[in-house]
Amino acid sequence: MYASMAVALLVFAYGIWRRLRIWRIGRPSVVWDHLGARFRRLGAAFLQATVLKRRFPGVMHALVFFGFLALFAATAVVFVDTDLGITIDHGAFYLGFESLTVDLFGAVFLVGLAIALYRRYVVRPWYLERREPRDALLLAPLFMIALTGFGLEALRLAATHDRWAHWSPVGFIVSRAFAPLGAAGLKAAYPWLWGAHVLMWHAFLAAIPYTKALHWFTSPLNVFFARPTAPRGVPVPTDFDAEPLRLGIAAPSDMTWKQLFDLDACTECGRCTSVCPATAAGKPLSPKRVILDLRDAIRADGAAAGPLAGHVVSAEALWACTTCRACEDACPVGVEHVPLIIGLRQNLAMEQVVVPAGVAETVAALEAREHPFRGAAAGRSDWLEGLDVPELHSLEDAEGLDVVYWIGCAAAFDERAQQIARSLVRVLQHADVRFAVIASQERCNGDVARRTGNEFHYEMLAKANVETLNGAGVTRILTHCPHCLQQLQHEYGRYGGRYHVVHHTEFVASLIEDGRVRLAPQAGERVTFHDPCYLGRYNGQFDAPRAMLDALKAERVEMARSQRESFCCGAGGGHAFYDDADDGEKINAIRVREAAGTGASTLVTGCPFCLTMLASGARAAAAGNEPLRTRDVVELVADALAE
Amino acid sequence: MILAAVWDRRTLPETLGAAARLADALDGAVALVSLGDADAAADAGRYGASRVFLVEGELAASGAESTIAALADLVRDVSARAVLLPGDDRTAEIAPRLAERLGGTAVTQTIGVDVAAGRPLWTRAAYGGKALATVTAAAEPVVATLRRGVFAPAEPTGDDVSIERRATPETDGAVELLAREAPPAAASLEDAKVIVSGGAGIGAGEGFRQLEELAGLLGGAVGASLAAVDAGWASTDRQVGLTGKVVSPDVYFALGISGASQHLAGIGGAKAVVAVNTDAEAPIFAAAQLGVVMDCHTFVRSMIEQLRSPP
Amino acid sequence: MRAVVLLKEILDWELPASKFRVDETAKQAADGIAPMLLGPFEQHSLELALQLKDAGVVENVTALLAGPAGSVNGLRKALALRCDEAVHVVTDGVDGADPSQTAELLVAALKRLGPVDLVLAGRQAGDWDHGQVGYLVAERLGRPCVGLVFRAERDGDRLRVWRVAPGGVEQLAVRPPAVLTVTSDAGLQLRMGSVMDRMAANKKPITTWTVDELGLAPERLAAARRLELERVWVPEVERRCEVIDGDDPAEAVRTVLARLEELKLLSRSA
Repeated sequence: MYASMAVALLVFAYGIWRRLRIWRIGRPSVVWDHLGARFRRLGAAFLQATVLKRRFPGVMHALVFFGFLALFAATAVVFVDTDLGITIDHGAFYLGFESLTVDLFGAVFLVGLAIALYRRYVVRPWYLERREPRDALLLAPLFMIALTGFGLEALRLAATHDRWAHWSPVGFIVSRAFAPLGAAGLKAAYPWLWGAHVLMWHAFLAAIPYTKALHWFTSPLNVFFARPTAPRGVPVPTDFDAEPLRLGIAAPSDMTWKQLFDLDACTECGRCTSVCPATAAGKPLSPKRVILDLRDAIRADGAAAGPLAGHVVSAEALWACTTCRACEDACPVGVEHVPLIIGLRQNLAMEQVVVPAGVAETVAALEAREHPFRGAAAGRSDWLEGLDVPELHSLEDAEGLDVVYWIGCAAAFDERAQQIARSLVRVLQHADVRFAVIASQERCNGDVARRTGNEFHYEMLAKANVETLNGAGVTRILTHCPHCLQQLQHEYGRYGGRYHVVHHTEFVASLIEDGRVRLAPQAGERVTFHDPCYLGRYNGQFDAPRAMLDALKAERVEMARSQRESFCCGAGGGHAFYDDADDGEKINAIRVREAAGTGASTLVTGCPFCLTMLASGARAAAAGNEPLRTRDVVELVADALAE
Repeated sequence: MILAAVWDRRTLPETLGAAARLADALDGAVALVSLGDADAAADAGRYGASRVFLVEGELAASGAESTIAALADLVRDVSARAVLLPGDDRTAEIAPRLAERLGGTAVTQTIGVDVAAGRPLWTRAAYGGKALATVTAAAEPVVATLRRGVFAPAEPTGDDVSIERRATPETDGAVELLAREAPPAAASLEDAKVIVSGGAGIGAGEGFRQLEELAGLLGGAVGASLAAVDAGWASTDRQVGLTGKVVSPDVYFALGISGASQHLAGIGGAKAVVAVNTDAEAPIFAAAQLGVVMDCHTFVRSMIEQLRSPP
Repeated sequence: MRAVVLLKEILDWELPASKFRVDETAKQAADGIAPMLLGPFEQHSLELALQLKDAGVVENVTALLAGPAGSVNGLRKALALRCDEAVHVVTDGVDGADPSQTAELLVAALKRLGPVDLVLAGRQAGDWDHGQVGYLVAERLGRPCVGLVFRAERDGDRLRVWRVAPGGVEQLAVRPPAVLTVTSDAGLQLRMGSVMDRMAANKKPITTWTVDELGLAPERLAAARRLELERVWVPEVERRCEVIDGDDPAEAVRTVLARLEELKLLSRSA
């Protein structure tokens, strides 16, 4: 036994070492900050928090997980007692834990495995993409190991006529079946069964690093390694001064070691794909496939695998992503898909120049005019004429201001988005907020460049904006666009931009709470709120817009996929500026259908791009008739102001 | 002598009109050369030309070479101080090259000419039409291309003049015409001279089909507003506006389009916008040169009818 | 074959008319109202040249720009898109508004560049809209010329080109060395360059020549002028919409068609 154990451990160690070799070729990752948060997430994962979000498979996994832990603990106790000679396994402990608890958990374990087999081969959820009998090769041996374990216990109970036998209920029942074997038979059968049990376990142990069972080790670690706090979803910046210059992810060595580790932590559960809006729209993107295709290529070819961007993972798949992060949120093992996809896009955009036409046009527009739109009907501050809003020019002007209102490109150039800004200005003026704008000195925040992998242009814009903002002494910023929020608050720090940024929903909600906004709301209409990805999932802000709707006495209903589980509008990842083919229903059409299904007469949101997408989807669904009303939440507040 | 050159009778009245007025101001006469069009040559005398030439033969066989050579010969023959040409894709090349051959000056995008102290003062458009400039030429003859639709036509008052025929000069064959093709079927929006664009007011089904028909009759392309594209009545490549295409046609028909600024952003370069909408308050009218408050379908149907029937 | 692309930087042509200002003293558009960019037709010429290089029709592409010192962005962009060389003729002290003078400078530079098989120029520069320089260069070099080309391929020892002509498209064959002016086409959108090429381009040299170095004495340049610019101004634009009565559809259509014909923007016999 010790010999086979040693062999098994050697094979196991070799397997781990092979994986470790790959992880080590990755670039550095920061995984030791926010330790408190990391441990909290690990604890939650241990208690199956994310796994249980899907009830059926969650329960299944919990049964298997805790069942196995108990059985493993039991074996460890025996090891300590027998091989190390430390006597612990006796008395109440023996009865209460080793016998009763472990037996029950063992049964639980078997039930869990049975459910797993049933789900995989009978129910067959589409996103499991059951591939080969290989998966059964994992479940079946475990099942057999547990079964033989019970068998051994039963043999022992029968042979020794253990008078505490009923403390091991399962074993006790099975032992009755073995009774006919007779003392000699039982004694003869035992070593064989024991040998089978041990060898199966050793074989399984050795096989762990070469199978999905590796996730037993990698998954908890990955949960710990994953970024525990905002900002999440941020791609790895490019060091343009590096020699040699590496633009995005071309080879495995361009990935961070955490990203390489992600590939081995994935349990192929498919939850990411099941929540992906691109997948739902029939696009060639499956987040799970991205992870597994990379994993398989790197396992096969190691550091020489590739080219990763455009070949191992197709360009079409990469450009289909809206960077909504639903995949990351659904993943129980901390895989971070989005920075990986953007990293691959960086290579497509900056080195290979394989981009959709709309992306090339947008980059050209950003380069020439510092905004992402084609043509321009007016200057950035034209719409402010007649609104009595002061424009900030210098450090002196910034003093005494409550906040600086960052307009963004959408409101400057798009008429519908402008209405959001107009409404917000009305509310701010009504509440006597001391604010100013930078308007004509703004340039695109660069999010669209960054999310499409165009780091070069992103840096140009970010650096210039930081210079403008710092030069004007700006520290507190108000914005109505979650993308501007994400950039100004979280991603400009790298270039020396440290600001306190507040989204208009949070700002106005607090104004209402402080009584600075007097409302005369109309009859409660039925509304539903669409959580913008970059406000909700990215920045954890869900409550403020709902508080505003409640203050308006609206009848608020929720869509099934709301707050953290919100379904993307389809504009993210640069998609507001380019099209890619979809075979099914468009993403915004899916979302509008969901909203209409709540019976709401108005679909409310907090992002100008969500608004554009949803309005567009509503018009398409209406096909010429009266479409579902789409509004930004501050527009509703502005309409209800008591003058 | 002021020489006017045309390729067909449609451009005859305005080109001769401009030439006649200039000649008058300089106490000179007007000659006309028609490059290949006998009808234009026949009309020329009636419109006031004192000498009329007709160049016959395969003018286009050598690209612009023969035409330039023929014109240069004529300019020398009549000692013209200026040559006026209608502005189009052909004269864009001919004017500067002809001016250079003659040691003169080319003036393009001309929208007016006056005479001060015996010298012509040319007014031309610049900066994409956003600015106007007046220039004088340091060397004669001046070869000017005239913007279409700007100069008043000549009055038919004169008598017929006998046509002097010239043959197409030989060239060295460095440039050879191989073939002529019709313009590409699905004219791209950015290149189209006429765009028939539909918006929310067009509706599903028949609507855009009729626009296609109308565009075909006008030799133009079909565009769409964001609303129409959203509704699925037109494909995204037809979209004009801030997140679509920026176009600069001669005529832009905005049919059933409200005129949101994001749409207007795409049509700033249009020479004339014709807006048809049932809503008299629609912002499109502020950006249009011609506006009709009526149902766009009726308008389209009527226009198709009129274009199909003989004038 | 060696190609030279003539480049120019102009004021952003998408600047809305409401923002456009003229400096009447300097007789040109006001400074700083919009960025200076490679003109649209220059971009198309550059793209055509690069496409010819991709197709192996041309082995070497040189970008040539006559402009003030500091106007190197367009040349850097050309280098970033894999032009083989970039040459800047510095025109400080030279009045840039005269196409004949510009052509003189460019011809001197072209002669200094050595044997050139193909010169590509935009059909017109989007600032002054003269549309002359390419053709003047052709005449002064004594080369065959085809204008308004949007596509080109090798045809034996000649080039087959497609150009826009009134009423359609003409295909012509032209024997190099030749000059082409380039017009716009959906297939001539200037490509996006890779960041690697862009960063490499920042280190590539730009050959700079002064007017003196080209052997052009000031008197000779002055003598090359043909146009005297008297005045530049922004016209008062009457944004008046002529409203046509819509009661009788047939009548309304007739009036619209008549108006458009009057404006020479539309012709019934299309």
